[in-house]
Amino acid sequence: MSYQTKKTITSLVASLIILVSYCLNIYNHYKAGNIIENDLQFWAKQMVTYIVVGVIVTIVLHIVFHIYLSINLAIKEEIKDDKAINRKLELEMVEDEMDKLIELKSMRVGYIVVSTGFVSSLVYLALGGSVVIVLNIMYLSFFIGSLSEGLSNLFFYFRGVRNG
Amino acid sequence: MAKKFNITNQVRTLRFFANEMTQQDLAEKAGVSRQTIMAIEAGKYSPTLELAFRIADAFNVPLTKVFNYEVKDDSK
Repeated sequence: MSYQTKKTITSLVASLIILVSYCLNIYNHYKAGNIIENDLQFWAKQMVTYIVVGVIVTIVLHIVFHIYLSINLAIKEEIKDDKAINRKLELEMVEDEMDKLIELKSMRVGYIVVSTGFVSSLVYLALGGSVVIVLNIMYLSFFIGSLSEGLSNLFFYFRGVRNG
Repeated sequence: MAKKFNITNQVRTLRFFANEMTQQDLAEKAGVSRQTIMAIEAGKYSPTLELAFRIADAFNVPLTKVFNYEVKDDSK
């Protein structure tokens, strides 16, 4: 498995952790009866908190991933020199035209998912739906968009990608 | 009549004749990752013209010795 594939899996895990913890947190609030209908301030606080948590979790996971990669490389290739490990890592971390093409294609998939979520939330609102639900659809569509971006990234790496 | 172009390559053969050059060596010479070389060899990725020239340059051969294309007729 290449560096780019492992990096994508790390990002996918981060997105999944945040999505699941957000859903569990909201469920716990719901069970405890803390959710007041149309209390937008409550939802805004939850969402902003999870955006910050999301950024922190992603950074931490990527740091752990790079430490693991260095240790794994040192053990596997029996390299003891720090410079040699860094050079080997740099070689693996090269981002070339194929990576950029795959990133573009998977970003397009993620963008389609997010826009679909955005439009469906607007349609739901136009049909007289609750603002809280609309906010949640929009918020979750960002997470699902990020997940589908990661999954399509993996799909393109395994299946291959062609220009044009 | 729909026509499809299938790009084939001789990268594996050329690596063999270049003293069994490793994928990593070729990747370094062409300035890409080993995964991209693997994908090109497996026919999973068609490189840009620039990368195709860089690969040909790494083997010191003209582009047509590395990459070829076949025309496939889809109507049959």
